[in-house]
Amino acid sequence: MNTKKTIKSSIAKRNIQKFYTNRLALFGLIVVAILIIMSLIAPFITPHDPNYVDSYKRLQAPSSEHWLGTDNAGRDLFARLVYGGRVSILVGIASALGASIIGVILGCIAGYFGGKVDAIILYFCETFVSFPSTILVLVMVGLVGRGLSNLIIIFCVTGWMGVARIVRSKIMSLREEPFVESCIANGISGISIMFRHLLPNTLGPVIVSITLATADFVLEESALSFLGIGVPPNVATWGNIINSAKSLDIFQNHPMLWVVPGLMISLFALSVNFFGDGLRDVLDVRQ
Amino acid sequence: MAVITNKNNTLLELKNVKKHFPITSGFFRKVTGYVRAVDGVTLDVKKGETLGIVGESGCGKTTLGKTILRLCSLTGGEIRLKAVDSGEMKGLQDLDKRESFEARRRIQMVFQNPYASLNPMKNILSAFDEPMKIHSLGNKQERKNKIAEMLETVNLQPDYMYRFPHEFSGGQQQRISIAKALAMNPEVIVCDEPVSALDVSIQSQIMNLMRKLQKGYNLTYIFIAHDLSVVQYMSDRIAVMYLGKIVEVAEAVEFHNNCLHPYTMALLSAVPMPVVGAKSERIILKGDVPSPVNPPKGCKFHPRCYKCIDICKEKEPALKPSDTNPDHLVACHLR
Repeated sequence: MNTKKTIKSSIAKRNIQKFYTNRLALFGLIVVAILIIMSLIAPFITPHDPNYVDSYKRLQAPSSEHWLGTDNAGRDLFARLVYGGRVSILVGIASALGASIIGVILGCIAGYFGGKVDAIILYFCETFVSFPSTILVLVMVGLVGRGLSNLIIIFCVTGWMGVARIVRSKIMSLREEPFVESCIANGISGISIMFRHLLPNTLGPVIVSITLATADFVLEESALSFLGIGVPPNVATWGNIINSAKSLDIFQNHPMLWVVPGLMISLFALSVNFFGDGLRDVLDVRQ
Repeated sequence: MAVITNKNNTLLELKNVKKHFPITSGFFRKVTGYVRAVDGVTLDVKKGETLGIVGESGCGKTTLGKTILRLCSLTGGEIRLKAVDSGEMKGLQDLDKRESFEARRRIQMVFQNPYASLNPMKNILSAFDEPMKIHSLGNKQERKNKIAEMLETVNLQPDYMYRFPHEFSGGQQQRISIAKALAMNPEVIVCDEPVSALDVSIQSQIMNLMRKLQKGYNLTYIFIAHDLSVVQYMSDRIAVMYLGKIVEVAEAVEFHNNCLHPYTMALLSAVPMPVVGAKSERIILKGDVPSPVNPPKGCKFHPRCYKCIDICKEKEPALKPSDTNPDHLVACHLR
């Protein structure tokens, strides 16, 4: 019992160490953590209401009261950024996880069973891929209406194909391996083989694609909000902040209003990717 | 008399086992032919023996092993296993759900590539534990003790169970595979080329271990290999396969001294002698193995046979006991 504990903790220690030595991944984790914590405790770090309009204080420069100044409606930019992070990060992570779960399940089934099941799933996959994703999202927004939860569902429904294909091809090659045959010959059920034996072997690329997708969905949410069909404009998100800064005057004379939210989006996307890379290396027991 | 005692001792029976893989072509996947990988194999496996199966690449040895493990369905014929309680021979397809599941435990396997036969993402403990758990072999602690015991049996340290497959050498991995099979309390172990991926010194180590375990646990091995010297060292009886059929079965000594089939003779003549200056007459076979899609008429070996006579081209010889020894079966018109 004792040896088991020490060995288990030594594996954990080795994993932490492996992660720690990867400085970029550590940097990613810290930045992502800071951004998430900041948006979670938003009411405690800024006294301002992100939606409070004060027309006497339009387009102010940064000051001790408004750390990053105010926008064209007199709303505090810093407050909008931290509150906006809540929505943007939620959309990114929830959509990426949701889409990946759909993709992993469908990919597993397609890859493991092959034949007709595979053909049907692949057919669906290709149908979805053959539409430009923005058009598809536009159509679906038109169908189900705007709104935060609708947007997440739409991202899940339109974003699973990449993961499904990765998992499917990986599982197809893995299922011919002798260790799978040994599972079958021992009478282990198909579901257990799929999700407990094959899936862990595909997790490396899946995790990378989840992190990439998180960044992508944050960007896509921003793009849709910028176009005015994403999250309703009264809700502060990083995309909506840039959206409200699109007049030529603000673009030229008040760069703070679009540079800062733009930087936030890029910083988040980049950090998530670094973190994902590090996570993949840690989860690969062979390294 | 001898035949009857043998019959009672039979653990596994293969009756005219066939496995044909369809070849499809075109858009509509029309079946245009069959690869006759295993084409009517009849064999008895006796309890506690090692049955060696030899043959060149593509003769269907591995497929035969897989049909016994029920990794692929049968096209024809039947595989029967002796039931535990009643002792009667029951077809693997006819078993009820519980018996069928039980049979999966009773027949275990060791594969050629030791690394690929272990899940790279699972440590030894969880790889061993899952099949033991679903076959309800003891509670958690009992299973763990058993795993530790099995690792010790194959000369590995018990705390290696927390390691991952890539942390072992090839020989160690193969010993782990053997321990994994053994942990299920099997009766039959199908060994598909268990030593051909290992270097010679490790080969002998693994083979000696397997022989030791066979005595200790009363195991029956079906030992599939292409290396005659390996098979002769391991086996009590040897079956020679050619193009999906058994052409000769004999006990190891009889096989070595008194083989009857021309193909077996050619195989044996190719084994190098470990004696300086020894000269053996090599029988060189002409041509290649014919395609199993379109096997030759008559005796399947006749296009390459150096003793071929007219009847060989017309009629396929049946596997029959030889004139001198009822346990020595051979499929040749000239025996």
